[in-house]
Amino acid sequence: MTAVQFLLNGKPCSEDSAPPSMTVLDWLRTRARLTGTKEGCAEGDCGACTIVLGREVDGSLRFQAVNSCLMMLPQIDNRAVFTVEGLAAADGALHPVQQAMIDTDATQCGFCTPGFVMAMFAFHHGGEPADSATVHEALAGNLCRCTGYRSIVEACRRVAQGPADRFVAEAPVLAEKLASVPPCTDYRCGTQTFLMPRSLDALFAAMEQHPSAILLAGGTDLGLRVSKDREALPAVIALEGVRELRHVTTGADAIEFGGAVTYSEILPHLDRYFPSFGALVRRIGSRQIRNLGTVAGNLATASPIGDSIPCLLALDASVKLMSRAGERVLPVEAFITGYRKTALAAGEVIAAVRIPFLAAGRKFSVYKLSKRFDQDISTVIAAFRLERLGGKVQELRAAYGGMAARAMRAVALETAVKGRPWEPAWLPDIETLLARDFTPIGDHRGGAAYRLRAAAGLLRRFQFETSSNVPVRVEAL
Amino acid sequence: MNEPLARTRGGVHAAVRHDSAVGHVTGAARYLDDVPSEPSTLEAALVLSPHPHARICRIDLSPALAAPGVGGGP
Repeated sequence: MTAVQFLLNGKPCSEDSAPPSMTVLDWLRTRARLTGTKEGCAEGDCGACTIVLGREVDGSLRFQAVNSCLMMLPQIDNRAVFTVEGLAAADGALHPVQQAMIDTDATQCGFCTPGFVMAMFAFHHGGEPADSATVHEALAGNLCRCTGYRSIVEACRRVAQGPADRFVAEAPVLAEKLASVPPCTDYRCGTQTFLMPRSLDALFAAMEQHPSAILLAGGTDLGLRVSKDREALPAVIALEGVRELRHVTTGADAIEFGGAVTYSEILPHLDRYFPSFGALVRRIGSRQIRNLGTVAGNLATASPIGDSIPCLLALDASVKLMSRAGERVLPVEAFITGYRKTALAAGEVIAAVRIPFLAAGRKFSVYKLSKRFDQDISTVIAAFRLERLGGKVQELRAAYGGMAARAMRAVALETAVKGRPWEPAWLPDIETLLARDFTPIGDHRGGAAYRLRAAAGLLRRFQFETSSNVPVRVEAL
Repeated sequence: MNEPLARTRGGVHAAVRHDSAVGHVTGAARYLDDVPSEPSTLEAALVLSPHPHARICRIDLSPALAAPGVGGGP
C-alpha cells in the first residue's frame, strides 16, 4: 500500500491514514483545516465545494474545476489541488478573480463565494472568450441565493480579459513536481481498499482480486453514496488512470472513445460531429460535473433519465465490453436491459463507446425538457435520427428518456411513420402511437399526461426544424 | 452649497464595500460550520411530531436513552 500524494496549494502533501471514502471536501475541512471550501448541497449541485485540480499535461498544468463533495480522497492523487485559500499571494495580495468579486460587489452572505471564485479561477485559465454564453456556462455549476448573478457574471467578464496571473509561471514548476512522484495505485485504510490501476491488465487483475469491488469512472453518481449516505465502500477500483480507456479515435465511419473519457474531453468532438449532442452535454450537470463524469458511467448507471443514453440509442451507438476472456460489442439498445440494469457481466468493463457518423442527409437532434435550463434532471428527453428518401421517412430512430423505466426507442412510432411523408399531416397521430410505446409515470417533475404530450411535442418540433430552412432552437432565443 | 457636497463621503450613489468581502473571497470568513467542535460536544437531534395537530401527553425517552452514546435527557 502507498500514500496518496498531491500538491495542496503548491505544497507537497501525503495522506495515508484517511479512509478512502472520505470526501475530498471533508478531508480539506477536517484534516487540512482549510474551511474556505464549503459544503452546500453535498450532491454536486450548488458548487460551494468547488476546487480546482491541475493535471500535468505536456509539462504544464491543465486546470479544471470539480465538486470536492463528490470526490473520494484518492481521486486527487497526483494532482495539484487549489483551494480558495491558495489564490492570494504570500504577501496577501488578492488574485484578480478575488479582486474582481470585491470590485463588483458580488458577495453578500459569502457562503457560495469561494466556489464561484474557484470556478472563475479555472475559467481564467481556460483561454475561452468572455461572451455571455461562455461565462454563463462556466458559472452554471454555482448557485447563489442572495447576491444575484449580475454582479458575479460581471466579475467573471473582467477577469477573463485581465492579465495572466502568477500561476501561469508556476504551473510548469508544479507540473514537474507532480511528474516526479509515482502515482498511487493501491490505497488502503482499515478495511477499505481503493485501487487505481494504470493499465487494462492491472484493472483485470484488480477485479479478479476484488470481485465485489465497485468500478468508479468519474464518481458523480457513486459519489452520492459517500457524500449523502456516508457509506464506507469496502472496495473501489478507479478507472480514470487506465490508459487503454482514455483514447478518442475518429475513424472513417465512426468515433470511438474510451470508458474513462470524461464529458469535457469528448465535448469538442461531439460539437464537431453531432452539434445537437454537444449542446445537450452542456446541460448535463455543470462543468464541475462534466470534468469528472463519463459517458460510459452514464451508460453503466442506466438511469431512465441518463441524458446521454437516448442520444446513443438514436445514433445507433454500441459499446465495447472487455474482460480477461476477451471482448464483445453490443448495441447500446441491448446493453441497457432495465431500470438501472445493464448487460455488463461480472469481470467486464465498458472499454469504449462507438458512435457511427451521420450518413449524408441524415439529421440528428436531441431535446431536453427540465424545470431549469442548466444542470437539471430531465422530465422528458427525446433524441431523433431521421433519414428521408424523396420526402418520405426512410428511417426514424426516436429514443426517449423519462418515459419508461429505462431510456428506450419508441418502436410503434418508428414503425408507423416509416414510408410516410415527413410533413405535419400525420402528426396528430403521434400521441396515440407514443401511448402504445410508453406508459410514463407522473412525479414531481411532470404528470404522465404531460410527459406524453411533451414527448409528442418534441417530435413535432423536430419535424418543423428539419423541414424549415430557418434554424429554430428555442434555447437560442 | 457645493462645498459641503464635495466633502461628503459615501451616502447616496456611492458604493460602499462589503465589510466582509475580503473574508468571503479568500475563504477566511468564518461560518458556524467552520468552527471546530470541542471533543466533548454533545449533538442534539430533533424528533418531530408525526401528527400535525395533537396534544403531547407524555414523552417516553427510554429508547433514546438506551441508544449508544446518548448523553442524557432534559
